[in-house]
Amino acid sequence: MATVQHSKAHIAGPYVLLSAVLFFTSLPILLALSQLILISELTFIEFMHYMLDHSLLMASLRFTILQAFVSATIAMCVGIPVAWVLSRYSWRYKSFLKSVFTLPFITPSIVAAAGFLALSSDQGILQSIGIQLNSPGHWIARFGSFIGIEDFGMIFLLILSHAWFNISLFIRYLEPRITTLHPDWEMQFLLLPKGGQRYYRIRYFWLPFLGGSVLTAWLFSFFFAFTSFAMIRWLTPSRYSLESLTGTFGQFAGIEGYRLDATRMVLASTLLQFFVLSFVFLLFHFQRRNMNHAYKSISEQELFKQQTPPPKIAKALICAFAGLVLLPYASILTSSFRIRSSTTTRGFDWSLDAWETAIFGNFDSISVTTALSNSLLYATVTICVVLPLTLMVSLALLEIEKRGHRKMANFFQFMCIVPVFISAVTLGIGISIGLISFAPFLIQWRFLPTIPHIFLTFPFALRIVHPAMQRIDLRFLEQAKLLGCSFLKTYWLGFGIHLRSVFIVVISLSFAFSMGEFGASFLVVRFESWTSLSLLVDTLLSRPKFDPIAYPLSMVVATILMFFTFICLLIIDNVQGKSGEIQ
Amino acid sequence: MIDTILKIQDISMIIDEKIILSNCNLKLKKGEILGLIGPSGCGKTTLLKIACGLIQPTEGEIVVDGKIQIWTKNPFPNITYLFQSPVLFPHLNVIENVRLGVDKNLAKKDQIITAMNSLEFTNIQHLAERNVNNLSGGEAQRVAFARAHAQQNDLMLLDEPFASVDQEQKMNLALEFKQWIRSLKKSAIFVTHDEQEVYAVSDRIMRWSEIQKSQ
Repeated sequence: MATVQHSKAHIAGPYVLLSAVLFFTSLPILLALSQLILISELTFIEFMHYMLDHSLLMASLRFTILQAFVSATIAMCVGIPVAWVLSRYSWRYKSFLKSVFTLPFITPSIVAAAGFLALSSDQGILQSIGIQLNSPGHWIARFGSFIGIEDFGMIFLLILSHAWFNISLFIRYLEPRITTLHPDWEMQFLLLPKGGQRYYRIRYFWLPFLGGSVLTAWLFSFFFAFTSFAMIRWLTPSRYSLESLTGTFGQFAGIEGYRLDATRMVLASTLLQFFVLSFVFLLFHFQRRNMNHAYKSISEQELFKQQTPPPKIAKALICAFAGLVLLPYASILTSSFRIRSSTTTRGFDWSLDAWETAIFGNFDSISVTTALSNSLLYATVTICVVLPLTLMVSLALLEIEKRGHRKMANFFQFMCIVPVFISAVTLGIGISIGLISFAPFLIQWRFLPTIPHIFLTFPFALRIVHPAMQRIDLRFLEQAKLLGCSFLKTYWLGFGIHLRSVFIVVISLSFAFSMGEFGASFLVVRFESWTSLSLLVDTLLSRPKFDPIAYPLSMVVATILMFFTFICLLIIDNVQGKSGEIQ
Repeated sequence: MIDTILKIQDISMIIDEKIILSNCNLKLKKGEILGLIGPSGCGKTTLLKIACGLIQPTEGEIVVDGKIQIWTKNPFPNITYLFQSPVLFPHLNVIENVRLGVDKNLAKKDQIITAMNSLEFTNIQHLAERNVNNLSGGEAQRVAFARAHAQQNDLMLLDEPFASVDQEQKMNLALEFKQWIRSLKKSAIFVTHDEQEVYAVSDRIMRWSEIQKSQ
């Protein structure tokens, strides 16, 4: 019997590709760590002492963990009831509501920071309803003094902003799970002796059913709050988190004979972050292995017929929550039209001055149009690299799976997704210290800022594309081959036509991520002319406020960035709504 | 002494002006296995769910052991219901699933003993520690029956319980179910659209058209 002989290149191809991808993904971080270790001039024991004795470092660690824990827990406490109410009743505009609630998650962090700053600013909405976070007489500040935290008002706002950011995660994870649960499960439990009491229903049914999703959403929320940079930089400027410490001191670290303290500090905070995030990652992995139970599901359309319309209290809850979600955006928009004035009694004038300045550009730094074109360039390059790279990696994974090496494929897939758990600032350090010290010519490379964007977007893209590719019937590919189609046409007919909606989602998501990326760009972008929109918001917010146009101008740029995010979300939602298959 | 354990009286169900059930009537005697046969989609499952209190009808009443039942958030007590495909909770293993059927007021040790007895009754004690995701259709349905056994209710409603079992096993399992119900002296309504199954299991057979006619 004849056996099929494959060339060595054919056999090794997928492994070589995947190994190369893993090598290049880990290279910047490894190079940066080795550079930092070399320059820090400390032995391991000395380094441990340095880390434990450094009061700023330890205070930052405590603050980072505490605020991330509290904000993730608040997000959970609000997210669960909202997801519950949304999934238990037949809402007429459910997909629109879900889009609104998903908005914070893809909002650039600098826009969210600008939104919460606008909320708490003079004449902001919070002050107009009597909540003065910085006033020592307000109950929030008094409570802060009671628990021994001086700037509690702004910490409170920071925690709320992180919770606002992450509630969408709970809705994203819980709502579809509850909605599509087949009614038989609940009925069966109700018919059992333990089904009669709410306590038992929660303990034995809902907790095991939703526990895994709640833990996943909580871990992601914790991770995002833990690695938040822009929000901490702007809402609690007097405090450092590990991420903001790395970002701030990272600009001076890794240079031989210069600011040794900065190098040691960055090394220590990066390693501390690595330990905490590894623990989070392990918990995440544990959840996926042990808490991921398959329940029979029902389609949403089928269920809609069986559900009842929402009662008034549910409507009130959803409306109030939608209002809270949209409040920071509304604050940004209104602040872009409000110019401080000393001539009016209300303290400001409504004006289009900031918008005119932004469009026609008469301010002395980079113009909005340049920043916008830079951002669009970075986003385009990111998409052009991420999409084919994701396809190639996914095809390689499929090939390995096809050969029966499922464990190996899972290992490679797992390793490709690990960078999700690396913070943007750490990646920025990897590029600015690791990659550039190794290849200094890169510092002037025009596309350098796109490298972190690609790194950060690729795992998300793979997470979307690969499951979709696994679902495709391989007979399409075989049929195309049998028909004698060209190489490109074969793959287009075998995969491409089935993945059109997935491509649109990946393109939109990559675009949104790249446009809004802040942490890594903050460290990587060395020339003002390379500034992106998110960096411009930061630059304008940093300007002295005696210029009345500076603050509204930053809000104009944030509004423009927000507009692009909205467009991306609309596209993603539209495509997801039609295909209904993209996870 | 009342010899009727379940009486379904004038049950009608209308959803969005669509008639799902119209004037259904049925009586089940104590110790009897009643086979109810009807085409798919005629409303058999809805009627059973109404009978055990999971769904409230538009009109009519359910009488169990001489007592008129009132619909609340919770289903009626003392009725066991077996779904078309066995609803076994995937986060629990076999014995833990069966333990859910045991009286919750018993001590944990006694709950385990009762659950184990139920598994022995259905000849699947060897599956006690097995993950429910690794059971065949027949094994899963036996576990569901063991849990029903652990509930120790006198009235059982079986909604096409062999729908998820392959053809070869179907008849054996049907006969086993009949034997189990008989030996426990329970009353049961067995719903199906398969003539062969209904003849193998039931003492008395009613067609769907008779239920809607009989007053």
